[in-house]
Amino acid sequence: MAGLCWTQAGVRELFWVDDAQGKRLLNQTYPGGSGYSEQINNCRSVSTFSFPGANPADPNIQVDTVRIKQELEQGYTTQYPQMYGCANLTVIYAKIFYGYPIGISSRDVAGGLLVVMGSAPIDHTAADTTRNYLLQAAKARDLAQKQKAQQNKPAL
Amino acid sequence: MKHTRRLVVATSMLFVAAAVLMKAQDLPQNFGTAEGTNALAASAGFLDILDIKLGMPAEAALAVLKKNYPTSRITLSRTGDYESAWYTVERENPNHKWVYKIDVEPNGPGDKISVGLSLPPSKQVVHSVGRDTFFKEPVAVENILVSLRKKYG
Repeated sequence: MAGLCWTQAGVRELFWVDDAQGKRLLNQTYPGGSGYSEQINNCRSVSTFSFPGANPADPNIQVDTVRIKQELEQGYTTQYPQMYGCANLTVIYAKIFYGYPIGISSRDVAGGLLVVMGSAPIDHTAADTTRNYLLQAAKARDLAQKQKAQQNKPAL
Repeated sequence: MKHTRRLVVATSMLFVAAAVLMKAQDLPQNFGTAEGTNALAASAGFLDILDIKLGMPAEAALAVLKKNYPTSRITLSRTGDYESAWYTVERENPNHKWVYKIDVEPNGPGDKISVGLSLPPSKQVVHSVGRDTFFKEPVAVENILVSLRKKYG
């Protein structure tokens, strides 16, 4: 395990972080579990490692995301300033909720659990592939338009 | 046309910059290709949440979710028309929309699941899984920690 910390009241967080070769990164907390390493803090908000909730406004279908458009336009690693270090990681994140919402006051009893795992390498390579594909398609379209235009001559 | 050319030039420069960074990060040669995505997906399947594995094909993940959650509402989220990333499209082409996420919403208490999918034209595979649940009965924190450590190390 990379780290376990007590955070805000009623929640305990755990992280497992693997590098690009699948090697577990250990000791990602400060002494005494008082906080996470800079790497975890930088990467935890990256969309690949966050719980992507459903869109309550339109639960049936059709959700456009700024993130994906940005990935395609600018590339995966430009999403976040500290993204370069995160783009090689696979992260598992668990958050244990105490039983407060179900009327249990003991800190040793949980009422809920959130677990998220994400592979940035898979997300990254697929996004780059798509981007390259679209880039080539845009070039081909431009070339076709140009070639078509070259066949036309204005009546003067 | 001029605007498009500028876009292509700008993105080409970004592509070169990304390639340099990729080299600096010691990424595989086929990274950023369909083959590279398939290879990474094939090696990621040892991690799972409720049988949804990283790298699993999207169709297989959907089949597992339908089997495990027959009464829950399962929805597919789609991107906008991908051409809109490069051009202003007046009307979106439904064939240019990609499913990028599968959501499972329980009818009442239960697991809320969200499965993130990689983008095509590579074979679409699971790149992230999230599970949010409130227990029907309270569970000792120690039992959860033991189970998590046993499963994930």
